[in-house]
Amino acid sequence: MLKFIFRRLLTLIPVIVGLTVIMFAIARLLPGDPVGLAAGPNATTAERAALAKEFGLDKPIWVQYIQYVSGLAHGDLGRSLLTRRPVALDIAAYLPATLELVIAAMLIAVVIGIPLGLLTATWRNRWPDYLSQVLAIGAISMPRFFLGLLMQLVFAMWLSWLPLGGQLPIVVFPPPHVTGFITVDALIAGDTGTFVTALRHLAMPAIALSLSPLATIMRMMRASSIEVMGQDYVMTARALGLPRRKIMLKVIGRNAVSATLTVIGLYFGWLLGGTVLVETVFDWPGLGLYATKAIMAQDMMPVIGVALVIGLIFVVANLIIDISYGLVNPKVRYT
Amino acid sequence: MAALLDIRDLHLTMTTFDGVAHVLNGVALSVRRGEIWGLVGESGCGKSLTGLSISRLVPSPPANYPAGEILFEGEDVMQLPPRRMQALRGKRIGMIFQDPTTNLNPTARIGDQLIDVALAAAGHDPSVLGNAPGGRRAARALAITMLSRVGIPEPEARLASYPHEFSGGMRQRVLIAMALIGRPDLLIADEPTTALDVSVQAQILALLKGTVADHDIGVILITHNLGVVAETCSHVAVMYAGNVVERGPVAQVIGAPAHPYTRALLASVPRRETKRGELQGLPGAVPDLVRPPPGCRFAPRCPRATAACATLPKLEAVLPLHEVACYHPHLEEAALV
Amino acid sequence: MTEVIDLDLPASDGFARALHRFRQSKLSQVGAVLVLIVLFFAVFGRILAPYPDQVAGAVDVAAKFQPPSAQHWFGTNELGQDVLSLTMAGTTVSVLAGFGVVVIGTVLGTLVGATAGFAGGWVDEVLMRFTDLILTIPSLILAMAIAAALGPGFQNMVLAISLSWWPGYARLVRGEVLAAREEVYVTAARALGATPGRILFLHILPNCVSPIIVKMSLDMGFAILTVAGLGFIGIGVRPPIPEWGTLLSTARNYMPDNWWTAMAPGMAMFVAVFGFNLLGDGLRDILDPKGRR
Repeated sequence: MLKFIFRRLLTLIPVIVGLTVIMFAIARLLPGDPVGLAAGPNATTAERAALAKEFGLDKPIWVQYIQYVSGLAHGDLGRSLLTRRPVALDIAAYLPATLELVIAAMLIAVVIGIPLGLLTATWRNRWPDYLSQVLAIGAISMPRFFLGLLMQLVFAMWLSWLPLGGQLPIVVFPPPHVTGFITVDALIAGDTGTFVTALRHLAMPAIALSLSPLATIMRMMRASSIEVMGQDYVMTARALGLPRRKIMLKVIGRNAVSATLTVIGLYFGWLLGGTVLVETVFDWPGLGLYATKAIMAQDMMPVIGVALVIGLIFVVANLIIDISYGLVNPKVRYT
Repeated sequence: MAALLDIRDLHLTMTTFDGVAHVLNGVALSVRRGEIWGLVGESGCGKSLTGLSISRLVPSPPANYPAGEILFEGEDVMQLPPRRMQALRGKRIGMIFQDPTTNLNPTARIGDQLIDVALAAAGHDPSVLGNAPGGRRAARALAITMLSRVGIPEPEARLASYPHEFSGGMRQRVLIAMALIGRPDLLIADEPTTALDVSVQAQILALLKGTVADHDIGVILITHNLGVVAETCSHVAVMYAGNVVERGPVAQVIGAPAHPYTRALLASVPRRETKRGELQGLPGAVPDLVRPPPGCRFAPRCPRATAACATLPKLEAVLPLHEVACYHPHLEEAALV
Repeated sequence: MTEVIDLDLPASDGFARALHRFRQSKLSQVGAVLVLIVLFFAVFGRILAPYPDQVAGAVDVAAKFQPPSAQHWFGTNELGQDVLSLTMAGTTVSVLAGFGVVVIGTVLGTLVGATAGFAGGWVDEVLMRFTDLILTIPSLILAMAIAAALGPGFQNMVLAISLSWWPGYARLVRGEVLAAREEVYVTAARALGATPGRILFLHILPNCVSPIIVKMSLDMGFAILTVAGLGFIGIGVRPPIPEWGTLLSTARNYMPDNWWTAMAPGMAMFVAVFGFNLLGDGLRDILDPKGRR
């Protein structure tokens, strides 16, 4: 058993190596001048040289790479030219916000998407089903940033129901840091006022982000439900007089959910790297925004760091799913 | 004794891409308590659809019932609103299907599945749980009782098992338990032993027989296996292409078959004495149900067919209780039995 | 139970069957119509625009920020330019870019996937590990990074996005090639002395076309979205070349008072992607009904 876990963990190493090599290779393409940008237009040559030296950018790239990788072993992800802080610190600061956003979005998508998928399967070939299919494709087609913009326009600017952006208004103090999720931390601290405020800020970006996964999950659930409905055991359940609701939930629902669950894991990882646009529109202080700003400033380190961290989370998440599968099903362990 | 189930002149059509198929062409069947009726015929003769029709499990857009009645204890099932029909299912009419592998919910424990059926039945008739209070607990106790009755060892422990932890024979027993837990008056078993080993078959059939004796219910056993019919059933109805062509007590129908089709069917069953090359088949093929022959559907293959057979023959008694739908039945040996 | 038993046409009627299914699916027809409209504007947008000179960059500062009216159906922007004209012209850029991304991604991916699937062994291992690696990197960030590294401009943007797009095709083609490799007609071709290259290109790949086309049509919508997304952030095409994403980004600065400047490009985006998705969905049902999920 341990051998299995160990073998799987070993696969992480080539991934890290590969990731860093690729990102470094991209950095190599940089025709720009990150040091010049960071130093500002009025810096002298000497100042620029000093800045370059401070960030180790004057050495040849392969030396930089080796320094970087050895730094990784100590948890050092380099320093950002833009913020002048260690990237690791920056990422630690911005990651929870992105996670909070993604988890909220996935929650919405799952809680609404799965029952809706089951429901539309039972409405099959009648007009509500048709309508929901069109709406689902519409939801997937809607550009997230346009939707975000529209929501801001309607709910924040015209109706003033919800705040425009950001995680918290400037005047509100964030709750003591426990998880890094402002909503959760506020709850833990018992501060319902801050909790509600945080929730109001989270609402629009989470909804904008959730629309696409919601539609996809709904369609997947519908498809597997339809497949399950053709199974013999559903007929038996009907023949033995089980009430309709119970059949839907216990018989059809339970069997249809498993295929959808695997997709949810994948979607989670994908969303993690896809928050850039929503964070930009709503000024949400997450990794997406951080990476974007870094890219615009041609600041290499944060981008590599962010890509690395997200990529790692994705791989580790898959690993955990893999391992738990092996725990549950002994046959898998020997492959 | 009034009939438990009385199917009269049931017609069923199904819309296929090729056209409208006349699947059931005036089926007539009567079952009383304490009787085990075998319903035999080739694949496609309509026996399964007849069974499904009794519980109205045939989806009605492609299916249509232009005529006929299905009287269950005097009430015409065809006229019942859906909620009343659901009350009948499980509680009054139980069903078992062919393949035990695919008929159990793979993601629910056996105990839960049994309990759910019991609770559904108790919802319409609390006496199922013995008029005891405490719904779920009583249902659980009942489930244990049923499991032991169908011969499953350590029933209490087995409640927590999943279907894939059981063998085929055990699963079929569980399905029988599920069909019987609501104390139905009528049990419809559609090829319950076809997917099982011969040895297990015998046990299941014995179980069915015992249940009939204990609970005084009526059973319809749908099968294409005449051996099963001979062993287990008290009565038999022979179907061909949507019609019941002969019906009556097993000893009479099998001992002295009157309908030419029944004769041919019985003759084709190989016996121990049958030598190589002596296997008797029946020439011709089952008719096209979209464009069936007028009148008797067996006429094209029948050695005794005449012009009269262009009109559909009705079931008529050749002996008390033994009925045939034929203008030229074999009567010679009938009187000898 | 099926509602109506499906007709079993012989294989030679494949095209007839596909056409029949297309006629039955209203959604794919709507999608096809929308796509045709979008393509029409992609080709003729610049010419048909009510104010073509503004599309080329002319401004009319006196007329800035006019709300929707008879002369300007979607109002004017901060430079007095007609928003509708800019949006119409922007169709060209967005759609062309989307096409470019999908086509390049397909070509690259097919090359990698076909090689991996056909060669097998360590070539397959290496190529697939590399593909998986690219997949691990969040695709948007990857595209952004490459685009920023290459610099602004249409070609750079398309190239950057394509480089994050090809892994999906690589995997798809590899799977198809792996399966096709075992087919009888491959063995037959080999027996006749055909070279591996010939087998691959003349025999195997033509049979893989169906799923590739389905994926391409499904991807078009998202490719357009990605292009616009990059434009929105400010990477890629720069004004005065009109592009939906950049139009939206500029419009954002002038909210809420001049909200109409965002409507035309946003809606155009939605309609285009919606049309392509409907069509793609329909194509998938037609060409690969078993894969309907």
